[in-house]
Amino acid sequence: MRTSLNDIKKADDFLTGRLSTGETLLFQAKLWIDPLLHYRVSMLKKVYTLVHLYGRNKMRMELTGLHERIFNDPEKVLWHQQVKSLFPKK
Amino acid sequence: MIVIEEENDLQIPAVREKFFGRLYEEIFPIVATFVSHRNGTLQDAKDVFHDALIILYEKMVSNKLPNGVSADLYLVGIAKHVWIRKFNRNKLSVSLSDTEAAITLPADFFTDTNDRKILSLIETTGKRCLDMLKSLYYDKLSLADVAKNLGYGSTHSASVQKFKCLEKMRDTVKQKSIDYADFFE
Repeated sequence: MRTSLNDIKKADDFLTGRLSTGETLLFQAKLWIDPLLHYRVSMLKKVYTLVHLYGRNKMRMELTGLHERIFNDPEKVLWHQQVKSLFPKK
Repeated sequence: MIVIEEENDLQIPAVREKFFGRLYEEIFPIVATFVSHRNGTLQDAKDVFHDALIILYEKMVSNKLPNGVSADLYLVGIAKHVWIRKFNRNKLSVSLSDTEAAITLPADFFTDTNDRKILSLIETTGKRCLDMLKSLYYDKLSLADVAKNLGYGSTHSASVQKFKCLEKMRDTVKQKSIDYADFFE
């Protein structure tokens, strides 16, 4: 792999806890003295956050579809009525 | 009662649909009753339940559920915590069992709107990479499974693609964050 990909791999291993104790300490020391590395690692953490958000959005879409299927299933009319009766009409 | 250890392969959509469908029929009425007794609406109950299912899924694929706990009981507990958090209710006003009281919600679950806006900016250009990274980091699939699902010749080539995607996404996020800050500040 090219150097930049090896750097990403190292940062990924650090953030996902796959480095040994010694390697982790060394990487932490590099973060202290290298502002660019620190910035790149913080951006990588942001990628993980956004990937999680993307996953949750996908899951929410899936669940909305499931909700629609269940609430439109003619075999579950009694179940729908029981659920809807829990909420008084305002 | 569904015992959590029996539920495997939740990352497979058909397995997940069956599992969630069962929980929907059995547990949604319990959560809906809880919400209606606190003057919530059917829409509130649906939102709380969906958030709770998502958190349950994340805990299950990360192996972060206590051993021997049933998914149905755990789901009800998560839903109570989501209700408290989402609607700013007093924790003391909700009765929680010991198992439920020990439940914690993911710290980043109620995300800020900036992240949502940056995601919407990168979704259009980086969907393929987002899908691959989601499989690995969100669904916790192995690299071998991802290689197989996405048609890579080997785990190594999938691994190289993973790091290319991380690099691309990191640089895109950096650029979009700058653009977003320039535009809105």
